[in-house]
Amino acid sequence: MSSQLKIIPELCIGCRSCELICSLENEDLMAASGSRINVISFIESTALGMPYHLPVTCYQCADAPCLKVCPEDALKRNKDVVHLDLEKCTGCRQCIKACPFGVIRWDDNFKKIVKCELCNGAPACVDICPSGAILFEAPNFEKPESKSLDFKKSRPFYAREKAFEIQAYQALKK
Amino acid sequence: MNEAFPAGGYHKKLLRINLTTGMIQSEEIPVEVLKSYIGGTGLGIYLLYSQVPTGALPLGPENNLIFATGPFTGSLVPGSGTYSVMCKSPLTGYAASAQANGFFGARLKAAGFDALVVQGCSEEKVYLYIDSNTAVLKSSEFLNNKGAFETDKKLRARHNEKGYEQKISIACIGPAGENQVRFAAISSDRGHMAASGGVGAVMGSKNLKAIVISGDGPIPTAPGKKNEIKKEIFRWREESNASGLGKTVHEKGTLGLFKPYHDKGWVPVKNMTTNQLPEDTLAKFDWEYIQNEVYEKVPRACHTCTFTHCHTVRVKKGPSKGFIGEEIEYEILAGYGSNWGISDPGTITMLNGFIDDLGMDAKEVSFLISMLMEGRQKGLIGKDDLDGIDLTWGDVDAVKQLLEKISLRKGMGDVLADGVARTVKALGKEFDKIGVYVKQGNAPHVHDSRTRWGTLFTQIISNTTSQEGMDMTGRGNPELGITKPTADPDRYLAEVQTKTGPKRQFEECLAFCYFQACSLKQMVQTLNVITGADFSAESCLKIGERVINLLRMYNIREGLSMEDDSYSHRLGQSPTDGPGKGKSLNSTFNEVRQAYYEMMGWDNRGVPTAETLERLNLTFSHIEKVR
Repeated sequence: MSSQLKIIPELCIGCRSCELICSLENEDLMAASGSRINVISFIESTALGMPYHLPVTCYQCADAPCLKVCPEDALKRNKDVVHLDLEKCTGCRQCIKACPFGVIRWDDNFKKIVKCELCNGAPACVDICPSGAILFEAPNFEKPESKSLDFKKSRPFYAREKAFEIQAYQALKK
Repeated sequence: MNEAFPAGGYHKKLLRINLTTGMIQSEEIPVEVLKSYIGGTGLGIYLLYSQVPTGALPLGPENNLIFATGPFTGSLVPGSGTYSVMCKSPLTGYAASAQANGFFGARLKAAGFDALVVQGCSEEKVYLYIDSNTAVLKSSEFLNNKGAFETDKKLRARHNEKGYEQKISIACIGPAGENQVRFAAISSDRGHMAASGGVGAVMGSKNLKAIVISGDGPIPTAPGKKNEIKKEIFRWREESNASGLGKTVHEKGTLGLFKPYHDKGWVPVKNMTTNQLPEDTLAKFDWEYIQNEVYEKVPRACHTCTFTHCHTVRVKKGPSKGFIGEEIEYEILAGYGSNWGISDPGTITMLNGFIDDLGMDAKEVSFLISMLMEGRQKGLIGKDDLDGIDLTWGDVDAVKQLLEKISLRKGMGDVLADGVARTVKALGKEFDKIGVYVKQGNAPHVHDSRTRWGTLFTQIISNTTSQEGMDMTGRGNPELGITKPTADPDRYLAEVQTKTGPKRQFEECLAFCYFQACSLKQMVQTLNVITGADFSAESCLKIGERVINLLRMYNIREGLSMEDDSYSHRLGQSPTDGPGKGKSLNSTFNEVRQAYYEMMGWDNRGVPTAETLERLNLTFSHIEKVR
């Protein structure tokens, strides 16, 4: 299996550099709205009251629901990446409804559907992340380690994992 | 200058909000202005000089409140969420320039504007909502006298980001701003304070409680330069990460500075009556102890931060156990800790949150309270003079009670709410001997700057109510031609100020986080790539010099004289102990000040000469035209 994006929310600092580099790489323009990766910072009612940053992007699902609903056949799987053919896309937004993670978006500034296609095999967000929260590597089942800064030492790691569980649950309920 | 400017970096648009008439309109910013002043503080002082009438009352409807961003704001440049607030300061009566980081600046830019100009005064209390399509004023009655954090929470919930943050930023004032406390701050993104010069009081005087911005639109950059822009940004990141702060700040914060500063005698203790702390207190102010033992922390970075300076912390021990707030900085530790005789870092963290919530400037609060504490100790003021509050060294409850009174201007708080310099006048007695302020009328940053010459001098002659240049005490800067540390307060001090001032003010025009700074060369290269301009290092320093001179001309227009380039009695006293014992700026100050005027091309009263103004293209013809 080829490389995948791995996101470690515990390491995310919430600087949103990934959003801008993604948009710059793919749209030749820095705009958070044009980004295929988005950071949500939970700031209230979190476990222990501490903020929590959650970067989300397309998981390139093996059995992708968006593929099945597209009436124009604009979404196609090519090896491990789900590609969107903008020539075919009519903007009907069925894929947005079908996506279980809410990571396919209609962008109002660019008037089109945006979704992550892994920047043709070299995702720009990986290099820009200052804390190593976004990795691009072949899947392994060991716990991934931070690329550069090691925040774990200074962070209540357990509390953060608990916070994540609760937040993910609340996000699902919404 | 080539024709292409500006190919990027600007929307060339400002939003003018007239609160008296309720009219909101978008205006074009002339390219000529952007070329000459770049943005941020430069754009701000241009707008202030040209659009606020001479002699306008700082807290009256004629004063304007200007939020200005720079060409980098909102882009990938490290720390580019910064914005500059400018207005006529209610503290000094001269120009105020305050900056805050976070996301507010970036989102203002993403909503499609380079600057906001708020003028007039609303009849009822309102807040302003802006996104890329709309700008509306809404009633803020439900937020009256609410703290800055609660205001953020409630407005966020109203605008569809309940409990989380994705594209909304809020800049607001707390009760201090609403009640026009002269050192009130503007708080953005929950705890990032634009504090200097009392900008929050001006916002309060306009009955504007908050500005809510929803922005995730495009940040203009020169088209087709994707790879160049990426290259410059990665270079900048490397440089800033290799700098002294870049290597340590994610771990130590600025708290790592406390011990070295203390060893040099730069930490104010009990209103500068000494600068030496007892060993046991010093051990509690150690960064390792605070970061590991006192609280646990999680990162809450600003826009495009590259090394996580800011964290949210939860106090683990002591009387404030369980308090959740912002990580404290060196200046807070010194200001609310050593300067007030408080030694528990957890309590200082709590006070930091408390004062941010009221919305006040830390440096003014610190020296105001410490002055009263010293006055109490010396019998200059009694318990009854402070409405029954027994303000002794280290009394946290008394401090909180008094600050709450100040923020509401109740009882004695009404007098104290005018800041250190005015309080000295109001209380009389010996207070002029113990008050810490520069003669323009604002408190300096929280250092014992009596022997930290660079920091002291740059604030004495500052035209911004804060530091105008950079302190090069103890380190040089080859790029600016500063080769030796300023060990003594001699003529060299003036030279250092002349060289660092333009660079610092140029940086303030670009508007990015000071901590993420890189070399001037890298800054100029990035500016050229993003805007398609062809600036050189010299032309950029000239812009900085132009900004200083325009600030100076504005202040002179509003009545500044060379007597204002001075400092209070306490700041001239020699420290009674510590490494700086016996030293003082007093003996050489007049000479240094004259040397500085001369080097800046000003006359011997500190007024820019006609030649200097002409050299900097400050002929005022274009300014007169706009007015």
